[in-house]
Order: sequence, then structure tokens, then C-alpha cells
Amino acid sequence: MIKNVFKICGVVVVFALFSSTVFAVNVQITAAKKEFTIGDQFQVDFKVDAQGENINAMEGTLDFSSDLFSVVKINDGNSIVGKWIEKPAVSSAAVKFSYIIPNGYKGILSPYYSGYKPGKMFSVVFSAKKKGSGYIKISKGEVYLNDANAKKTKFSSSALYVNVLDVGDSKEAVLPKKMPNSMDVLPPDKFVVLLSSDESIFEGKWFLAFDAKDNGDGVDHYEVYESRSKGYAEDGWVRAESPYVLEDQNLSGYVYVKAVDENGNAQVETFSPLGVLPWYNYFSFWIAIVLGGGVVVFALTKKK
Amino acid sequence: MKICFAVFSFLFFSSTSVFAEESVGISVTATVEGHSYSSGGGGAPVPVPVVSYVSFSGYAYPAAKVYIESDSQNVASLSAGVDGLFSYEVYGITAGVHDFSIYAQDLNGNYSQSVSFFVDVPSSAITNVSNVFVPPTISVDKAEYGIKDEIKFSGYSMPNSSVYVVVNSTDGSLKSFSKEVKSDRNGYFEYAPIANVFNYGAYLVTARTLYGGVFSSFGSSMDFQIMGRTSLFASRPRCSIKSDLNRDCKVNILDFFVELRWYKKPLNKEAKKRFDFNDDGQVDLADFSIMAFYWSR
Repeated sequence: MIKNVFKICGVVVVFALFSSTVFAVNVQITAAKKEFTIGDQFQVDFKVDAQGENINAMEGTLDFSSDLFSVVKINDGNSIVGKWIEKPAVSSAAVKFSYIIPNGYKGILSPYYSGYKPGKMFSVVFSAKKKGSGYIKISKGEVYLNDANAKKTKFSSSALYVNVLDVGDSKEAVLPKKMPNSMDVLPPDKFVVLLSSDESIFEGKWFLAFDAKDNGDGVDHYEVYESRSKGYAEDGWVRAESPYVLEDQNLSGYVYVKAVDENGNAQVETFSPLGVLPWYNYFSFWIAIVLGGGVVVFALTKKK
Repeated sequence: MKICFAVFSFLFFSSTSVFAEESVGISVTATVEGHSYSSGGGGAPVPVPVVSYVSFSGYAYPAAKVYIESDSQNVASLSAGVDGLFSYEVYGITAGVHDFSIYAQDLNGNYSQSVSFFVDVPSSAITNVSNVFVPPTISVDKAEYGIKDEIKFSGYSMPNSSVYVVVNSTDGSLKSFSKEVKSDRNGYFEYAPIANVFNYGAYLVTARTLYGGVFSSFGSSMDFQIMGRTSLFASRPRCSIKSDLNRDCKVNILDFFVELRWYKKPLNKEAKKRFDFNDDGQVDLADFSIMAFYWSR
């Protein structure tokens, strides 16, 4: 009898211990369906379920059967990602990614459910190019807790298996289906542009840092327009990345930074470095002094 | 079987209580959706579009300045009442997932740790985010102490609440030390032990508040050291957080992009000292995790 009690107790303890340790931050990989025909495009969502943990950094590799699928597009709009360290780019093979979530992430709150739900990390549009059965998965995943010591926590993710059929084999598909065009008409949200310099990079030159968020398809690129005077023209914008080293290291004009989303919607922010340096560093002040002095001299000589 | 049940209960309780303690209890509701209706002049009701906004309310410290950020953009700054409570409505937030951060500045000018959370904001609705509990601030008067010195921990919290001051050694040699103190009606609290309560070594101090039966999360940490005797250079350096690379007392995208330049790059001695926050010889995701933890304003 005693033996049996110990056995049951042992099982219960093992179960309890196991159940408290199975929690691991999970990346869910989902698609609307798991069967497509050659030529189909389909979207796969990658969502992070923090499982009660508070996490702030993650890395991994987006891995897939590259003989069967190719990546058409990666969408990071409406994402939980705070700042990309390595932003996943369209590639024919495995893609590495890493990012941080400043101040941590437990999940998504909403008025329409209680508790936390998984949030989107990114979506990938794949194209099915060959008949067969293939996988889409996240490998080499690592995740860190939101604490001062960069403590790692457990990571898990199950592969998504997708079948690609010949057009003739499919019961439903008749024509190859492309993903519908985006309906996103809203520009990226307003964003902050900050100025700094650091002796360890860009030879200590002044640079701008910026990072916009777009809740539609995601930010596609940035453009910068530097001008001596206020205002910008349609032409003259240059493609840029953050951090951006200023052409005008005298900080004497205006800088406009444009964030453009995947659908071409743009948000422009203005940055004026005027006032960052002491007044005597600005050419315009010296011109004003010279002109003012000229006027005074002219007035005095005229009076005589 | 009773023993069995007790063991199971203990294990279950101990694992679930962790989550209960971690829970800040933020509540999100939508009170209105779509349109409200008004009737005028006896005619048929005319639909009036509802202006959607996000309403935030919660607990900070009396007269604290409270800041609300959406996706790292400051969208509001307001003052908490003398009771430490705050509420504010933010307009112009688009529908979709937003990363909100709320933090406070106490009467001494010290900033709290941010309370951060993601909300899927619906369109055409008023979203209420309530029970946001800003953790207490904490400061230490010096960076180094002699073993017989008095250490002064102080900060601000909800008024007349229990504040747990928690000290941990950075190398894990001291078992976590916790002391409960009471905040006064202005939210101010203080704890001043003699350094020999701990031992020689490096420490981190943080605090959390218990108010109305609910714990806040832990606030930001401050470091200090206990030496043989008082150092002549014991005053606390300004902006001492390691990941604040440009020493402007903020950890933000300026620091992020500078750190990014050194990601997985060979480091010389100077670069190691400055960019390798966890001293493992490289700049990798762990260093960015530390930066993300201290991210502020």
C-alpha cells in the first residue's frame, strides 16, 4: 500500500515538475491551409507566444524547403518587433533574423479577450514552385528574458508542413493564385529623428537616428532630403538607412526624413539641427552680422 | 495520499504564484464601438461618428509627472493627483498593435522603470486601459560605502503603501534581501541600514509596491558597492547605466544604432569595455537584451 502511494506520489511530482517546466516561449507558424498548387502564393504568419514570460530579445533562422518554395515578400507591419538587429530579407535560402522588444513583451492585450494572445513577429509570402511536401520552420531559436542579466529562456517552435500539388492534382485550385494587392492606405506613424555623434563610429561625424512603425504592410525604406532653407522639393531625396551621416556637418540647415511603407504611403518628419551648436558655428549668423554692420556703416556715412 | 496532495499543491501553487506576482493586472476594455446616436428636432436619429481614443488610468506617485509613449513616441505627459492616481485620454492612435510604455518622474526628478504592454487597438472604438501600476523609483545616495557607513535607499511610490526594498548581490553570493517599509502620504519612502547588514561586494537594489492587495512590478535597479572603508570618490556618477552609451541618461535609438555597429565585430580593449555589457568578449544578442531592459525615454 505504502509502495503504491509512493509510486503515485512520484508520478504526481514528476508530472507537476514537468508541467511547470514545459513552458517555453513558442513561435507559432500558421497558414490559412496546408495544401497548394504550383504557382500559388501563400502567406505564413509567425507569432510569438511568450507563455507567461516577459521577454525582450529573440533570434533565429527562417528555414524552409528551398527546392519547393521561394520567398516573395516579408511583411513586418503590425508587429511586436521593436528594433531589428538583423531584419529578415527576401532570400532563396535560410534567413537569419534577430530583434529586441524594448522594455519587454508578454503578449497582446485587447478589449475583445482576456489575458495575453500571441503577437505577430512577421509574415512571409511564399510561392510554391515544385510538387512535393516541404517544411517551413524556425531553427536555432534563442530568446532572452527582460532582465538586467540577459538570462536566456526556453524556445520552441514546430515546423509547418505544406504540400504542393500539380495543378491537375488539386481538387479546388484551377488557376495560380497571387496574394491580393495591399489595401494599406495609411502612412507610417509619426516618428522621432534624433541627432548624435560618437567617436567610435563614422569618425565622430554627426548622424541622425530614426525608426518608424507602420501598422499596415511595414516600412519599406527611408529617404532623406537635406536643405539649407526650409522646405523640400519632390526631387532630390536620397535613399537612406538609419543611422544616416549628415552631408552638412556644420548643422546649418534642415533635414527631412521620409518613411515609406510597402504600398508607397509616406510620413515625413522635419529635423532642424539649428541650435545644437553654439551660435558662432553657423554661417548664417556671420552673414547677418556682416550685413547688419554694413547697414550701420552705410547709415553713419550717409549721415555725415 | 495526503502527502501526495500536499506536494502537488505546493508545486502547483509555487509555479502559479510566480505568474500571479508578475501580473500587473492591466485591464483593457472597449466601451463604445461604431456610432452613437443623437436625435435633433424630433426627426430620425442621426448617427454621430464616435471619436476613438485610448484612455489610460492607473497608479503612480503623488504629483508625479507621468509620461505615455506609443511605439517609442511620447504621446502625453501629465501630472498624477495628490493621491498618486492618473488618467488621460490619448487621441489619434491608429488601429492595430501598439507598444505602449508608461513611466513616471518623481518629485526628486528620478525616473521610474517603464510599464510596457502591447494592445491591439480596435478601430472606431474607445479603448480603456486601466490598472497600470507604475513601479516605485529608488535611489542610493552614493556609489560606494564603507562597511560601517549608513546606506540611504529612498524613492517614491503610491502613498501609504508597503514598499519592498530588495537587495541582491551581483555575483549571487547574498541571498536576496528584502525589507518592507511604508511610504508616507507624499509617497516618499526611505530605508537606511548600516552597510554591514550585507557584506563586502557589489549589489543591486530595486523595489516594488504592494497597494490594495496588488503588487507593482519591480522598478529600475541601482548598483552600489561595499568596500573596506569609504572611498574618496564615492559620489554617484551621472547616468551610470552601462548601455547608455552617449551618457545622456536615456537608453534609446541613438545608443542602439551605435551598439549595432559593433554587433558580432571584433572588439579591441576599449570597445570591449564600452559595448560588451555582459563581459563575454563579444557584442551579441545578450548585450542587446540588456539594452532593451534599460530602454527609456
